[in-house]
Amino acid sequence: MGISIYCMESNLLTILIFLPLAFAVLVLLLPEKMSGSFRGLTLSATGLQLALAIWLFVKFDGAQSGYQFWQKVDWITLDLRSLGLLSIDYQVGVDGLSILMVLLTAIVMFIGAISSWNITEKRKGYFALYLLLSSNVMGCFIALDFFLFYLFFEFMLLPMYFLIGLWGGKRRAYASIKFFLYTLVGSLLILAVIIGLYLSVIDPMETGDRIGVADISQVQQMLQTGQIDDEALVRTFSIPAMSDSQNYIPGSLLSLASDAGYGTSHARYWAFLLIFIGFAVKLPIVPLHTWLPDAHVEAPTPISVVLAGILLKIGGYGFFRFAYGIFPEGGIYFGYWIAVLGVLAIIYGGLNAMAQKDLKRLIAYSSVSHMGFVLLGLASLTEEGALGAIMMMFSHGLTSAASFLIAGVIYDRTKDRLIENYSGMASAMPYFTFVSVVIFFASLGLPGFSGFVAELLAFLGAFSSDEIIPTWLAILSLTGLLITAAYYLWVIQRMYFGEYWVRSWKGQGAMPDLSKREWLMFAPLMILIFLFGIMPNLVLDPVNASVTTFVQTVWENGSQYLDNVTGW
Amino acid sequence: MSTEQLLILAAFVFCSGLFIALTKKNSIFILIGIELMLNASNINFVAFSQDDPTLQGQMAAIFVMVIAAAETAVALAILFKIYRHYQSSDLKDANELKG
Amino acid sequence: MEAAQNHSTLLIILLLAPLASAVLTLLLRNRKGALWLSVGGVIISFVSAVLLFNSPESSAIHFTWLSIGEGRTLTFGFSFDWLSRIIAALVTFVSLLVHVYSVGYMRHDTGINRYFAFLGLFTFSMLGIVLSQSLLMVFFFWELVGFTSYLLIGFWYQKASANQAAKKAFIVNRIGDLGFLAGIALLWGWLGTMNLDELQSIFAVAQYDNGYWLLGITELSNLALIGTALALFCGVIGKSAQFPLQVWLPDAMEGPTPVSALIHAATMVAAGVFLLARIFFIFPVEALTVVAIIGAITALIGAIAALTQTDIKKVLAFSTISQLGYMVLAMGVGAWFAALFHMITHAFFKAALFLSSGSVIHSMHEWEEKSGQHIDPQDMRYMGGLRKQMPVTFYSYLIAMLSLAGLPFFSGFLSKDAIIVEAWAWASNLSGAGISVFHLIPIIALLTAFLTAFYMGRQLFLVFFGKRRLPISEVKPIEVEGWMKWPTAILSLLSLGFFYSLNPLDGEATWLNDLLKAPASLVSSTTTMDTHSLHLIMAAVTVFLAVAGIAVAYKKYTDKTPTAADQLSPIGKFSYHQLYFNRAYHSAFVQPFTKLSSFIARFDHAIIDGLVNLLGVMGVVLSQLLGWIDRYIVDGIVNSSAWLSGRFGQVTRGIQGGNAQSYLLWGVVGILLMMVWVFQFIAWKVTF
Repeated sequence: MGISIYCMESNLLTILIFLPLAFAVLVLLLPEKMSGSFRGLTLSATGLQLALAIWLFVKFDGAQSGYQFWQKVDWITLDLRSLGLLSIDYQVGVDGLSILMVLLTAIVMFIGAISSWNITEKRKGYFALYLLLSSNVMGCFIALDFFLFYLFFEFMLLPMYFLIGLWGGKRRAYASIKFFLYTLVGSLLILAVIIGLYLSVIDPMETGDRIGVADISQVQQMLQTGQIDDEALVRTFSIPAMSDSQNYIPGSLLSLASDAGYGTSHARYWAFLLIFIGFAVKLPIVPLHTWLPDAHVEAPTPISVVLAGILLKIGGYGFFRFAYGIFPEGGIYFGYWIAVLGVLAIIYGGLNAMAQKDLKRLIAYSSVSHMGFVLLGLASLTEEGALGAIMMMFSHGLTSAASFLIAGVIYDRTKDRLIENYSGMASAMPYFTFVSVVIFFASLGLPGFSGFVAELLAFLGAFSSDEIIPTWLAILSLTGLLITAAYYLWVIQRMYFGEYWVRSWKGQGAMPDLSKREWLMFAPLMILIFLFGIMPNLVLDPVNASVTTFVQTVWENGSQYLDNVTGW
Repeated sequence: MSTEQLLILAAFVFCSGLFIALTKKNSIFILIGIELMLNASNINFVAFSQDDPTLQGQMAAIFVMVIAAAETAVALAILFKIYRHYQSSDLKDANELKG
Repeated sequence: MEAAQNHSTLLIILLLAPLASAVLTLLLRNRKGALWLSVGGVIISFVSAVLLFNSPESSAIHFTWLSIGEGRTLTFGFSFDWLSRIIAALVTFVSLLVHVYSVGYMRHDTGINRYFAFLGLFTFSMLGIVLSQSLLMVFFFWELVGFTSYLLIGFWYQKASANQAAKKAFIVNRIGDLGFLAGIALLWGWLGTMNLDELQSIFAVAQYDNGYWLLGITELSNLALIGTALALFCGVIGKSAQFPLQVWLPDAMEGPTPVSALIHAATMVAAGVFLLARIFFIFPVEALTVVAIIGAITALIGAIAALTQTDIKKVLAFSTISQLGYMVLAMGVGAWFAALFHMITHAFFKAALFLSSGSVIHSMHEWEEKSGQHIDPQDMRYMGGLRKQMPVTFYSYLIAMLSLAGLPFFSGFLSKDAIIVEAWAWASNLSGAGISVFHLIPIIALLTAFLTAFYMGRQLFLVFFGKRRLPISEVKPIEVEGWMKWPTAILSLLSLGFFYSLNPLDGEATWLNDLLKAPASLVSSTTTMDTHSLHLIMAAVTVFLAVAGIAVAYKKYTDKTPTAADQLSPIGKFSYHQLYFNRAYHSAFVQPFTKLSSFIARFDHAIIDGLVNLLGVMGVVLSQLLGWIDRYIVDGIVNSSAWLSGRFGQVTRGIQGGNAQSYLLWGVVGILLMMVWVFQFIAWKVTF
C-alpha cells in the first residue's frame, strides 16, 4: 500500500495528464449503445483528475521554489553526427508558477463536465474530444520540455476546433476556423523560436555523461571555452536548460554573444517578441483578440467555460515560463510597452464590453479586459505584480467560468443571449439573480472575492515598479475598475432588475429558477471565489517562493544579459 | 539448275505467297500464302546447299517442313476456333485487337 | 493578557454578530424570526461595543492577510483607540435604532428577510471600516459598504429609478475609490506599508527639507506627498458626497427611508470624514487647503440645492451633503476634533430627521391607502399641519431640526460653532493681520449656517405647521406606531447639547475632547488667536444667523404651498435642479463615455476584426489566384502533353486495324525499310 502510494505520488503528474486520455480511449471503444454512460465517465475522469490535482496541491511544498514532482525520461534520441545529439525528453514538473494553473484546470474541467450534462448530439465524439482536451491542457501546464509543451499546445487546438465547429452556434464554422488559424499562426511563431533555441542550447548533464565529466558547471565552462566537440553536444528542448545562459553554445543563434539579428535588434529580442506575440494571441492581447468574442459566442457553454477558464491562461503562463523565463532581458527591455499593452487591453476591452448587446460577447470582452491585468502585473516585474498576475489568472478562471455558466443558464432556457430581451429576472429567478450578482460583483473586483486580491496586487505592483511602469500609466490602469463596474452594473440593471418580462421565453409561466445540476456548477465556484477572496494565502503561499525567485532571476539575469545583448 | 535460277524461283514463290497472304480474305488462303513463303525459303535453303557437301541447307529445309506441318496443324485448329467464334473465315471480322 | 484575550473575543463578537445574523436571516424563511435575529445581532454588537470601552488602548490585533515574497505582508489589524470605540458604539447604536424602526417601517414588505440581511451586512462592513487599522482593510470594507449601499438603494428592484440610483451611487463612489486605491498603492510603493500605526510612526518624525519630506529611509517630494494625500482624499470625496461627486447622494434617497437614515446620513457617508481623521497626519498644508476648499464648496452647494426641494427626503439629503461639507472643511482647516464632533452630533440629529421624515412618509402612505387618493407621499406640497396628528414625530423632528439649524443648547450648535471658530482662526492665522481670501472659507461656513436654518425652517413649517393640504380632509393622517416613533425620539433627545458639554456655548469643552486626541500633523499648529473670545463672538453671530434663517422661513412658508418646480424663478430652478450638475455630467461624461464605448465597439468590429477578415479574404483571393494558376498553367502544361500524346495515339491507332494482314503488311514494310537501312549504311561500309 505504502509503496503503491509512493509510486502514484512520484508519477502523479503523468497520471494527471494521461488519466483523461485513458478515459477518452475508453469512450471511443465503448459501443454507441452505451452513449448514456459517456457523460458519467467524463465526469468521473475529471473528478478523479480533480482529486489528484488537490492531492498534488496539498503535497506541494510552497517553501521551495524549484520544480517538484519532477520526472524525466528520454524519449527521442537521434544522433545527428556533427549536429550533435538530438534529445527530446518526456520531462514534467510543477513549481509555484504552474501549480495554481494545474489546480484551476482540474476544477474548471470538472465544472465543464457537469455543464456538458445535457449534450445530446454525437455524444461519443464530444466526450472523447473533451477528455482529450483535458489531457492536453494539463500537459501544457506540466510539461518542462519545450517540444513536449508544443505537442500538447498543438494537440489542444484539434479538439477545440471540433468542439466549437461541431457543437457550436450558428456561425460556428467561421468562429472555429478563425480560432484555429489565429492560434496556429501564434504557435508557428513559437515554433520558430523553439527551433532557434534547439540550435543554441545543450543539456549540460547529458553532454557531461557523453564526455565523461560529472560536474555540470565544468561542462558549462568547457562549452563556453569551446572544448567540447560538436559531435558530443547533446541538444535539448529542456526549459530549465534554456533558462541558463551558460548552456548556450557560444556564437549560436540565440546565445548572448550571437552576431545574428535583424534591423537594430539582437536575435534574442526577436525571439522574445515572437514568443510574446505567439502567446499574446492566446491570452489574448489587443489587437490580437478578435478570435475570442466569436469563439466564445459560438462555442457551446461548457466549451466557453473551458476556453475562458483555462485556455486563455496558457497565454499568461507562457509569458511567465517561456517569454520571461528564457529571455528575461526582453521582459526588462520591452517592459514599458508590455505594460502599455496591458492598460490598453484593460480599457479597450472594458469599453468594448460596455457596448455589447449579447451577454456572452460582453463577458468575452470582459475577459480581454481582465487579462490586461495579467499583463500589467507581469510587466511590473515586482513580486506584488507577478503574484497579482497569477492570482488574476486563477481568479478569472473561476469567475469567467461562472459568468459563462450564467450566460449558459439563460441560453438553455430561451436560446437567446441578447441583453435587451430580458428584464427583471430577479422577480422570477431570485436564486439565479443572487448567483449572478455575486459572480458579477466578484468579477468587478469587490473585496471579499478573489478578483479583488488579484486586481489589488496587480495595482500595487504597477505602482511599486518605478523602473518599468510610470505612475501615470498605473493611474490610467485604475480606470479599468470603473469601466468594469459600469458594464456589469448596467447588465444587472437591465437584465435582472425592473419589471419582469423575457421576450424569448416560450414556456409556461415564469422562467424556472436554477436546477439542482446548475447549483452543483455554481456552488463550488462561488465558494472558491469567496474563500480565496477572504483567505488569499491559501493559494498564494505555495506560489510565493517561486514568484520571488522568478522576479529575482528575471532582474538579475535580465540586467546582466541586457548589458551583453545591447552591445550587439 | 543454277543457284541463280533457283533463287529467282524462290523469290517468285515468296512474292506469290506474300501477295496471297496480304490480299486474300479467306484465312485458308492466307495460310496457303504463308506455306508458300515458307517453301520459298526452303527452295533458298536447298539452292544454297548445292555446293555444301554437309547438306546443312537441306537439313534446315526438312526441319522447316516439319515445323510448317506442325504450324499448319495449330493454325488450322485456331482458324477452326475462330470460325466457330465468329462464324466466318474472314480475318477482317476477327479484329478485336483494333486500337 | 487575559484581558486582551477577552477584548479580542469581544471585538470578534462586535464585528461578526451583525454578519452572522445577516447570513442567518437570508437563509431563514421565517419573517418574524428574521426580525428577532437581526435586531438581536445588533444588540449583541452594541453591547460588545460598549463593553470594549474598558479595553486597554494599546491592545491592537494584527494578522497577515497576504504575504508577498519573503517577509513583506499585507496585514489586517484592528484598532482600539477611542476614535474607533466611540464610532463603533455610535454605529451599532444608530444601527440598532434603525433596525427597531425598520420593524415597523418594513413590516408589510415581502422582501423583509433580504432587507434585514443587507442591513446587517452593512453594519458589519461599517464596523470593519471603523475598527480597521490598516488602509487596506479600510478599503476592503469601504467597497463592501458601497456594495451594501448599492443593494439597499436598489432594494425595491422593480422600480427603475431605484436601480438607476443604485448604479449611479456605486459608480460615482467607485470614481472616488479609484483615487483612494491609487493613494494606497502610492503609499505602498513609496513606504512599503499600509498599516496606519506604522505610517503614523513614520510621519511622526517626518522632516521637511527644501521641498522634500524625509520619511524614515525614504525621501519624498512635497508634490508627491500632496498628490498621494489628495488621491486618498478622492475616496472621501466619493463616499462623503463632496463636490464634485456629490450627485449620487440625492438619488440614493430611492432606498427605504430607514436606510437613508442609517447609511446615507449617519454612518456610511460619514465614513469619509472618519477616514480623513485617520489619515490626517499624511496631509501637508497645501493638501489640507484643497480639502478645506472642497468642503466649503460642498457645504454651500448642498445648502443652495436644499432651498427649493419639494421632496421631504431630498431636502434632508442636500442638507447631509452640506453638513458633510462642513466636516470636511473642518478637517481642512485642521480642526480635527471639531470635524469628528460634528460627525457624531450630526449622526444623531440627521438620523432623527430622516426617521421623522420616514414616519411622515409612512403616515402619508397609509393615508393614501385609506383614502384611495393618489398622492406622492414624499411631496411636501401635500403635507402641512401634521403637528397635531403626529406629536411625537413632530417634537422629535423639532429637536433635531433645531440642532441642525444650530441653536444654542442643542448639539449641532456646539459642533458647528467649533468648526466656524476654528475656520476663522485658521484663516486669520494664514493671512496674518486683517482679512484675506482665506476668510472666504469661514464666511461660506457662516452663510451656509444661515441657509441651513432657512431650509430647515422651511421644511418644518411646510410639513408640520399650517393647514393640511391633502386633497381629502375627512381622512386624517395618524401617528406611527411605537416601533417607529420611540427610536426617533431617542435619537432626537441625544441631539440635546447637555449630553456633550455642560458649557452650552463652547463646543470644545465637551468630554469627547478629552478622549479624542488628534494625531501629530505635518502642519505645525501655531494658533496664536485667542479662541475664547472668538467663541463668544462667533456664538453670537451663528445664533443670530440661525434665528434669522428660521424667521425668514417662517415669514415665507407658514401656511403656503411651495412653488412647483416648473414655476420657479431661474435662481430657484438653479437650486431645484441641483445647480445642473447632473445635466452637466450627463452631457460631459456619461454621454461621451457611452458614445466612446460604442465607437470603440464599432472600431473593434469594423477595423480590427475587419482587418483580420480582410486578411482572411486576401488569403482566400490569393489562394484562388494560385488555384487558377495551378489549374490553367501548371495543370495546363501537363494536360496539353497528355493531349499531344493522345493525338499522336489517334494518328497511330490507324495502324492497329485489328487486321492480321495489315500487321503483316507493316511487318513486311518494316523489314524492307530495315533492309534498305542495312544496305544503304552498313553493308556499304562493310564493302568499302
